[in-house]
Amino acid sequence: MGGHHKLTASTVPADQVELAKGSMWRKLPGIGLVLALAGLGGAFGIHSGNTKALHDAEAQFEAVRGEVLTAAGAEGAKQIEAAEKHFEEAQAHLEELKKNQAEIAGRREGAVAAVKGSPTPENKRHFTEVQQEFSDTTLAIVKARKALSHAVEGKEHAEEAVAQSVAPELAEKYEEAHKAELLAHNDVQQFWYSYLTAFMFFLSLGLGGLFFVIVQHLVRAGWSIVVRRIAENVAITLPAVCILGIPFLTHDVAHYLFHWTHSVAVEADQMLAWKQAYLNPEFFNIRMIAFMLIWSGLAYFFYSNSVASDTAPQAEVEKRFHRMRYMSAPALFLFALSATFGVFDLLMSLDPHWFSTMFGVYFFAGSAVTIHALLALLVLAFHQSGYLREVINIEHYHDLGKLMFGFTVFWTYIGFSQYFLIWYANIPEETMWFAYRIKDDFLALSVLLCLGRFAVPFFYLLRRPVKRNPMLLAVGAVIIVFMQFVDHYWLVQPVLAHHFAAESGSHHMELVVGAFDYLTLLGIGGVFIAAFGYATGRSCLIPRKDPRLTESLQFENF
Amino acid sequence: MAVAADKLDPLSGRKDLVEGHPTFHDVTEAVCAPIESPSWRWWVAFLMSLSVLGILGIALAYLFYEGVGIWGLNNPVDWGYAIVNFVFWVGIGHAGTLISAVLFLFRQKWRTSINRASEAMTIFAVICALMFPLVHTGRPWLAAYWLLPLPNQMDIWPNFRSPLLWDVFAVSTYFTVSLLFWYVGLIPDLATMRDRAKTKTRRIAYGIFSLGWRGSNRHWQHYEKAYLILAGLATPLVLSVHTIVSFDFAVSQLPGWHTTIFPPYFVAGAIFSGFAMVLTLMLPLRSWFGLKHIITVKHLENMAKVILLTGTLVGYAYAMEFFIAWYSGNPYESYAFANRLFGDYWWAYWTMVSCNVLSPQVFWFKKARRSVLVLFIVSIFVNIGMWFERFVITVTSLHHDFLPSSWDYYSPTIWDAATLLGSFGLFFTLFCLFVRYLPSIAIAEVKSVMPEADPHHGDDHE
Repeated sequence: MGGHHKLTASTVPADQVELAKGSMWRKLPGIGLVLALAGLGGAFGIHSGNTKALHDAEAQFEAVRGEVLTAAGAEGAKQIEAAEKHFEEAQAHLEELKKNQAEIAGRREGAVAAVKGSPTPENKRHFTEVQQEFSDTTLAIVKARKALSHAVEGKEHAEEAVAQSVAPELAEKYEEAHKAELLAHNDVQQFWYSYLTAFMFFLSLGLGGLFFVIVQHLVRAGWSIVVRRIAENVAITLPAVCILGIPFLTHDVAHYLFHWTHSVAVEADQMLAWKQAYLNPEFFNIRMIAFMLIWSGLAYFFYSNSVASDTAPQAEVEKRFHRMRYMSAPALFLFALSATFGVFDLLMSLDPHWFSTMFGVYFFAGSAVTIHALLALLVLAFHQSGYLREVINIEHYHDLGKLMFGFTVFWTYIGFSQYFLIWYANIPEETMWFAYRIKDDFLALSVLLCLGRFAVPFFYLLRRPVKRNPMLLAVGAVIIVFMQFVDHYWLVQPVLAHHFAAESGSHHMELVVGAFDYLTLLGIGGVFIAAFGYATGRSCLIPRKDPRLTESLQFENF
Repeated sequence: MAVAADKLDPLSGRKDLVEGHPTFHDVTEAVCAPIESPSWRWWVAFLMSLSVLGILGIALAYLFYEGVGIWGLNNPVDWGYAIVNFVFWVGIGHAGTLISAVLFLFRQKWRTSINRASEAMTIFAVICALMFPLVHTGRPWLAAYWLLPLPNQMDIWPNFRSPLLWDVFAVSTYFTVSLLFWYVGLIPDLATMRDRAKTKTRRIAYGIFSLGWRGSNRHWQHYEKAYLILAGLATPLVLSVHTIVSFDFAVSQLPGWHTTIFPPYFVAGAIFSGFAMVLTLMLPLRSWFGLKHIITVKHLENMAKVILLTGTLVGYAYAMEFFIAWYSGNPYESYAFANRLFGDYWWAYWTMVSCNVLSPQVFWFKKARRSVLVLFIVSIFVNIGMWFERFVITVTSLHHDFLPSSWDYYSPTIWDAATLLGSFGLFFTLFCLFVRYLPSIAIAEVKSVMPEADPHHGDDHE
């Protein structure tokens, strides 16, 4: 009946869905590994040079500092000693108050128990007194933290004052050594910020793939079966990418990235001290390991069951598809929670003072729009290399395009709401996160984000013919994937630029896309490509025994 | 029933959406029967609704005579039942357009059995909602003047920077588009009613509103195009209305109100409550009007899944609010949430959580999703829980604000309760009139998803 003949599950030509021996796709693991080695090797190479330079700069600064102290004589030493002593006292005072508070808390428990046991006026009065004592100590602790923070500044000021009191030449030398140390430190930090940016970008691709696969099972989608294996292969990059997250668990790296790992800074900051119960290295590591296991485990579950079904006997195929469908709802639940708290840790806590209940959704929205764009690009690449041509057609591109469009609007909705509510209420502790993202050089980046993530793809993808032309659609997809990287750059890098602008005293935030940004992108991208290529080479390009494959092959938009 | 042997789905197959293999004509007959020969049950439901509507009349008459002093508002809690009821009804009004527009774009064919009645429900719920901004001043003839940007000799304009004003635009736009969408969908069915009419009045009435529909190919082509465009336009409105409503709270600096997740959280909650109300209405409807083969258990199960999903999303939002209230380190924010859990209104909070987050969790089990009784009970729970959610948000944040000396306890008066109850009277009266005079299932759309609509139906080759 009708015009063209349509494929069914049993008439799919094998050469369309099975990679030939010499196919370029089979070279991807090798290419990926080369890229990974080149990128990460290069980046780590420069980084180890920088680390050494930092040690040298530190040593140099120490040496100059020694000279300055000698030159400043007893008067200078006294000044510094006084500041040092002041700092130690502030620390000791805080410690003592904390110990007092713990002791009072113990007594308060006793007082509560006493009131509960026999609510005599005397017991009640005793409780009120203890409670008052507790409140006073709490307030004293808040003040002691402030004092500690002043003492830290006092130490720095004392040194600067001493350095200015010596001969002008020496003072200048001190200034230079100090600056050199700051710069060297920034270089080392910059490496890890670039690394985190690239890591989060590729992690978000893998998580997007995982989300796509889970949702197709959950809603029993028919149209998407032919692209699902590609998404499964994207998702199975998660274990490989997660391994690259291990450095974040180490003390040094966390120190360069996360301000809340600095114990003195935490002690001297009431807010950070409050969050210490959650934001502390041990708990952070436990959470990270849990998230990485969840992501890798879920990806492996869907990948392995789907791939195993390709060659399994019919009864087992059904069992495996049952299993995946059964698990999809709990998997979505796990995915939502782990992704939310994962990005709270990896992205939101970069600026530990800031918070937004919407942040998890913001990350999710970006990943969701990007996975559909990435799938469209990968399908096009398969088509260009002669695969899947009769299997995936214009109808599937059209649906991917519609979802790219829809999630673009969703991302905008989430991003705008988050910005708008914070802007409108104008509470300093929330507003500052955006304030330094629209400062100096970063204003242009923020504008790019609005245009490139909303205005351009929205108007571009609005029309039907664009979504039904693979080449035109691919242009939109490239913009979306690129903007996903820009978004993560925008989330991560201003934190360092802002910090450095304050530390260096220039107060001008510079946006410099440097070697580290390219190299880490290349390197982690290489790992991603290698993992994707390896998975792609291992199995059929479509889940060929999916019970709804025919429906997907014959699907048409009306 | 050809259910068991369906190989397409490993679990339950792509079943026929209408059960029992009826013909197209059978479907028309089934849907038109309640209109052409109403049962006594309709009269019972209608008269009961009408008497509750009477309570609204009395409550409003006294309100307009006396003023808002008859309500329980006090100094810190100057937003009470009126806003709670407004948000509650706007929320209910979300499922209709979600079902008709969003599910349409997602090719969810099962929507065809429930979209008509849900859209009607949406319109009536929005009417109930719109009533509250109008009457909450106690002087509705002035409220219209204040709410709308009408030119006046004093050159005084509403505050365009206030989300309360955006609400006026958002909700009225939503109402207009929902009405239009509903009406466009009704046209082919109105023509069916016209063609079946046995009295002159009916023929003229249905005739006027069916706009000369003859079911020609050209008509259908335009109709499908218009429907798709309206669906595209209505979809962002599903999100925007409750987003703006959430702004009423979230743009402020009040602990418990100012939080960035409010927009999607309100939207999820609105869809959640809307679907619950759809179930509350559909379960009796399908049984009393003999439509169980068109609104099947499969349809109910799908709605249960949407309720489970959106209820869990609402739970996610509650969890985020709590976590960040602590994580922010803001003592006022932490206090606001501790106060919700253990303060004066703890009972309202725990009612909300039990109804909204815990009760839908039974839908993890297929048995529960397919049990009419469980569905009905949970739908009532969700209706209650979602009303309490708005109560908790509004009242707990207001009654203990920054300054302990201004704290107070809010309790509604009998007139608050009468207005709330009366709004249900208005809602159910309108709904009863709808099912009495209009086809409560989209006849033409249901036919389009039946196997007979497939051009290859009956070809037995291949």
